[in-house]
Amino acid sequence: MPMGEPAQEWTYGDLDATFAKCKVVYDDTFVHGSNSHHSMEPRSALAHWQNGKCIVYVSSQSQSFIVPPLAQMIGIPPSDLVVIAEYCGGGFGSKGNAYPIQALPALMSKKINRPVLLRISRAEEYYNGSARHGFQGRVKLGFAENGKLLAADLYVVQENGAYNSFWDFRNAGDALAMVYQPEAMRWRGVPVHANSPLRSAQRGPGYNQLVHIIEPLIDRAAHQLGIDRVAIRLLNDPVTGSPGGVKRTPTTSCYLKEAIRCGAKEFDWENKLAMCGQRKGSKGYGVGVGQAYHPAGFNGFDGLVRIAPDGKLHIHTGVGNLGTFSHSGTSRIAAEVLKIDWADCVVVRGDSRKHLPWNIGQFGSNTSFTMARTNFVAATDALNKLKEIAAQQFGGKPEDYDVDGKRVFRRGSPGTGMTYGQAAQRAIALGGKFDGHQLPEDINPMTRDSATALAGSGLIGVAKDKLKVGGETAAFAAAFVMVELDYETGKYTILDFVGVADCGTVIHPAGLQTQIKSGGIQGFGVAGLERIIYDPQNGLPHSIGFYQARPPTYGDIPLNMRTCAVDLPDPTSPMGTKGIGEPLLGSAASALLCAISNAMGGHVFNRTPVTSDMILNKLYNIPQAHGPLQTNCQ
Amino acid sequence: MSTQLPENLVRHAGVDRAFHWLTALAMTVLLVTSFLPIMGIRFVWLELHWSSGVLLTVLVLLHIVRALRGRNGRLMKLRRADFDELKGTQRPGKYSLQQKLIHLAWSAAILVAIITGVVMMVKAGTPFFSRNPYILSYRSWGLVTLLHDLAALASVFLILVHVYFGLLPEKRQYLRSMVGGTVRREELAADHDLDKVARGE
Amino acid sequence: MLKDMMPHFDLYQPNTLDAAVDLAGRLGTDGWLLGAGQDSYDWLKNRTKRTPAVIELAGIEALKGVREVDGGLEIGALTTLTEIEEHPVVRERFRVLSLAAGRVASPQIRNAGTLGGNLCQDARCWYYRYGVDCYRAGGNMCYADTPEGMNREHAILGASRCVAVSPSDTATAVVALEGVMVIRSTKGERLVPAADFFVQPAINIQRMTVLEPGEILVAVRIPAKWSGASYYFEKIADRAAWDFALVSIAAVFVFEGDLIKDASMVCGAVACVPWVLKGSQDELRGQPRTAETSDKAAWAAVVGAKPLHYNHFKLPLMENLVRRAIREA
Repeated sequence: MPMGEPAQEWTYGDLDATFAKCKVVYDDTFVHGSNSHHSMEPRSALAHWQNGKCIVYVSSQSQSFIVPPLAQMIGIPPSDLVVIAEYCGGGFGSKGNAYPIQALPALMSKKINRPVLLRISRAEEYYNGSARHGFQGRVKLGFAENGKLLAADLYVVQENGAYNSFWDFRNAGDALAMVYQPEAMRWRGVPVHANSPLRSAQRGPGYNQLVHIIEPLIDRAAHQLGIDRVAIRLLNDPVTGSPGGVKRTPTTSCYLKEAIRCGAKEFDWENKLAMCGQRKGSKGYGVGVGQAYHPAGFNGFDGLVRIAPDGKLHIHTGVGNLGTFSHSGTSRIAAEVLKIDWADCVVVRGDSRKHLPWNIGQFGSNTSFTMARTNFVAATDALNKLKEIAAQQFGGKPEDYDVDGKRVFRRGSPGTGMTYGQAAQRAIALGGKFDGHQLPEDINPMTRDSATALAGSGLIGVAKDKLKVGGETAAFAAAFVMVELDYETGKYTILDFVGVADCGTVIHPAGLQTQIKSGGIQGFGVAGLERIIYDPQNGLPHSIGFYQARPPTYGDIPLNMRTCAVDLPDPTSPMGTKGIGEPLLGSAASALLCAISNAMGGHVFNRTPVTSDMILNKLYNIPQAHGPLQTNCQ
Repeated sequence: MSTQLPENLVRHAGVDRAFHWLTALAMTVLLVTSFLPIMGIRFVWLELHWSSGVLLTVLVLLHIVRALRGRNGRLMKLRRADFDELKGTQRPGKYSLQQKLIHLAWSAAILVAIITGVVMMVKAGTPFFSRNPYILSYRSWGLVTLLHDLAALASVFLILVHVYFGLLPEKRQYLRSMVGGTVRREELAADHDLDKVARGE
Repeated sequence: MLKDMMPHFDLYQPNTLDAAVDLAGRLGTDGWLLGAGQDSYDWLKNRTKRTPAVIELAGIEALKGVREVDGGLEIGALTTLTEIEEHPVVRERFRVLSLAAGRVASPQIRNAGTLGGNLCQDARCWYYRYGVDCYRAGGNMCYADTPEGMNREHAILGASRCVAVSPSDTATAVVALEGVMVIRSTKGERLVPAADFFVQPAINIQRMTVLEPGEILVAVRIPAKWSGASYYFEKIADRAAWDFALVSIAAVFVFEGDLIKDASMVCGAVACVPWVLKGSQDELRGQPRTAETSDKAAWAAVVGAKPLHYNHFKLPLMENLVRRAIREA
């Protein structure tokens, strides 16, 4: 591999001296293929203008977050832009921020003074809907005799497509430093433009590609050093406070070891492992364990809630709707703070005319962390105001009051108090900070506009998230996979899957299960099936439909996918929540790659996807069709 | 001088006749395998077509080598003086002006067909080359195909002319010589200058 | 170019076969025959191919259903793949066809898709489907068999300029069972053995079948010959559903004790037509059912194979499927 000067690099520790200490050193090149996002809903957009305002209907993972950049693309102030993003049929990272297709109909509509719909076809979705960044790279890993990863040297060349895009290549370095905790490490990377479809962030950008490459190499070391593959991970895994990245920022919580242990138990690792290694007829088993990580600590956004005179709690959320309904899952935190039945809550969302606060988009595995904080501070602000109003009315100090059953009342004297509806009416009468006429200085202008519009309509809780931050809040995940490999066809069947999330406190068990399973399925696609290739001579795109790009089908996944969660709280989130979504893909894909490798006697392909033709070629000692480091080939 | 010539002149040596008839065979196969499928009679034509093309190429190469060696090549050379045959002031040597002209035309057509055909074999896929349609640009392929087709059409025209004159009763001596190899001296004397023939012109 | 939008065409919806035959004869090349549209709609909606008129056959009841004839079956061309998969007689006596029909695409597509459509579907070469001017599309070039062409799914056998493969799963079974195609046109009815129904590119590079404009495939007759025979069908594809075969095999055998009395084996997705393994069949007849015999049959199957850049994995795959069919039938 040509090792030119990298665009960026960092190092910590004494690399050469540490490598010299190592018992086993691997130096490998690798290729991580690109794969499309396969958003079920193509990114069509509709726009029209009304009274100087531009109204756009977009396919977006995010609501409030895209308003300023989209307004900039259209060339109007954010306050003149109405964004309607109520539903989204999947984005997987490709619809996180504003993108030009959202702006095009607005600009055209302005010219012709009529509504304009830009319809994106499935085939077009594969051109402009973007794909995961592919990697070519080289990695040198040095292990101590006991299996501890001591030193790592990573060089990543990132395929950018035709435009500047995401920084997967940087994330890969951070992931290696975090998940395997080497004593010394160097990271180097360079993104390269290519005449290929647009690339952008996709579920676990960079973090996941990294583990897909490294996890099978960890297996190789375990095999060579005679260590159990679960044990070698437990030896290397980070714990709460373990440093990450070149800045060596400590994690606020990390229970990856617990996740591995929990998964191994649920999966029945020891017994399943014992089943591997023997061939039965044309078939044999393989098991694999994989792990992954994604930092998810965005903070500093705003929360906005309103208690209406009818006593209902309106939770205004601008987080967006990726299809996971976590807008509601995280809104429940406000309901819990105010101890109000979910039936009495209204989640206000999906349309910027509904007076939404400045929120993060639904990306980066951040929603359950970031939105827990914003909803918590807004609800806490409302709670404090309820108590203040009650104290004004019934005497005493606000601390003397408590809430429950849609009432605020004096502790020890439940009869002394008022309903939320009455408190809201009182807030309107009081005005000032109580009903939104007086707002905190530090909130975002968008939140200020929204709260101002709501002023006088109830008790307003509004605040900026200034809760404690103390290091890197990250989501971790582990996964276990068992495959049955057919040595005559190169095809494998995934027999069992266990996915484990270290996502802090579980606030929505059903939603979490879906996340773990769907992350697993997506991971199986990345590891073994998906492709986005083109004819290099003519630039013709091959993968312009689901069946060519091959995301997994119902037949490619195990019938019973099992899930569990560590369910230990993160201290920096008021509800103990932290990120969930992205490492679930990476851990599952890694586990599958390791299981295939296991079934093949430990052969590591050092590339993804591992397709049946590659497996067959290897089994029959036929040269692979692809050249070393070749991309765009499977 | 002409009396020095024997009664039966050897007009075409065995090897030349073999060349002619093998060429005729190759040309026939080439034309049949190219035009019949276009006319809707479907069969496996491609392998026959290019293998006949290869045969034709080899024959033409051998023919060129033979023509360049010794004095044979001069017999077909077109000279300014040959055009005097049209005025009747000159009589031809071994080959008449018409024969030389049709040979020239056919040389051009066949050379064009062979050169373009060999290039097209790279695109169509034969054992001789690894298939690669990108050795030429899209437009160049169009030009190559056009030239090949024009050469084929020219060949059809030339075959019609050739066969027509070959079958004419008054030109039957040429056909007989291409079959048996010899021509009678008197027959030849009717249209040819035997002195020239004797001089090897 | 505008894509992904159904273009204008005249739609004819005959409800009798005679009317359809008349229409097909009258419209000739201008009349696009539509079964369930699982292939046609792709072409039309993508505007890669166009037609002035579409003759929708779905309303013709005579083209639907499975009938028992002379110990064999006559299956209407418009019978759905699900119906064939689940039909008790097909299951009991011609199981290989039932299995093949059950591995086509996805349940939704099988519920709508028809036998005739599956047999007559056009090549799935992605270059051709993309709309390039390749040989098959009337041009003068193959994009797949080039030094950098993406040809993992393409042919290893029987290619001539075009290297597309026969994508049909049911075609392998129908050819293995020595089915006969019943074809109607204004000139009357003609019967074509299934093995001759599919056309190699060497003969006609623009068509997959012998169907002439104006001709309608009305039924497939499965003779009694292989009724109740031992069978094997397997389709290897990247995905378990909604995918085309990388290599598939349909095979029927008559065993006498340990001896293989007769065999009929057909591979899909290795050539432009369902590839009858004549060499393998010859190796098998009268031989004991042993590993050595199946090795010989496997080697005979790939004689003459010419893999392209990305598809040499099809050789061991095809050999193994032959071995497995003999072993597990």
